[in-house]
Amino acid sequence: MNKVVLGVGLAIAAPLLGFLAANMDRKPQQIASPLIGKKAPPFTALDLSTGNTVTLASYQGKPLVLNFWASWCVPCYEEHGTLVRGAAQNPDTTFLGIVYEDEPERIAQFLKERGTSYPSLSDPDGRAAVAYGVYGVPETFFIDRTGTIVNKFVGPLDPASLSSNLAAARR
Amino acid sequence: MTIRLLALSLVAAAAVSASSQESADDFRAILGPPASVAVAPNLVESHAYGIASKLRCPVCQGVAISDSPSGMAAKMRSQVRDLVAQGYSEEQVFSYFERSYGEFVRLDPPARGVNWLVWLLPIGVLVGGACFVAMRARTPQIVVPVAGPQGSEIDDETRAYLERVRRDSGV
Repeated sequence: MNKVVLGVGLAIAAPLLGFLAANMDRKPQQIASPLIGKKAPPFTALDLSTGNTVTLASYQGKPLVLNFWASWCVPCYEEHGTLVRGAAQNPDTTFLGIVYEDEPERIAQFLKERGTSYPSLSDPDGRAAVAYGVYGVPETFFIDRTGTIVNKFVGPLDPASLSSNLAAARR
Repeated sequence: MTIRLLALSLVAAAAVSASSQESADDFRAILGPPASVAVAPNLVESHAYGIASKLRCPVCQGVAISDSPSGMAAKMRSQVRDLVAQGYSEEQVFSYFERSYGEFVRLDPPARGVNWLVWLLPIGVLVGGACFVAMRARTPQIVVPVAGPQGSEIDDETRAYLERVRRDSGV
């Protein structure tokens, strides 16, 4: 009888432990975004360079690269050059930065020191970040010309990843 | 430089108070019209707290946004309050966050699909355990007679005592 009890116990516990062990290293950021393949959520934000209120609709009709970033985020420093060059080399695509949990002075300092070739938007109440399911920065969304999200890239963008995701957004 | 920083601060301050109508429009574009009537202003906070206690903070470890000190959780709480004040139902608020973060954002997974396992497995294990214990209790126990001491091993005093017991008990 003890062997039966042990067998039943193992049959219940082993799959549960296996499931837990297999998912131990998974981070929430790696959960596939439910927004892929869906219409990009609308947002209203402020263009930090012009002070104008802008909406997602203002940019539709062209592929869009939407990058959530912050000046306190080290990987954002790493990818900034890739994005600046990418925006300059791809005039058929709109690049937008959305600032995540940051101070305007620090943003200004960052952009002054490193330069930029595309607008950055302020999202002080986090509506855009929540609407896009942002877990942290940097996260970049690639949106095609119909306004559908084709991919979400988590972490610092490198030129190869930018290029392949841009190709997908242009299809 | 100082003037530029001042200008940026003003822009950011303006962003904080970005038109609530535009934000309401963004909510409506995502969720459709509110399903319920707007909650009375004095009840918004408690109603919103109840909903926030069931939403996971995406940048924390298994903590509800109602209990998290993070900036992201504070922004999500503020959005829950806005949605409640505008008359969105609890289920609409959940679906707003679920749309961007997936089911992960709910601390209580809804009872559907594979989630049924979470609800049913503990009950199944409990019922199975109870059945097992009940079956064990009903099974007649076989008493293996233990060999008593042989006659020659009993001393005279014990033999006399046993004799008295037999006599007294009428055996």
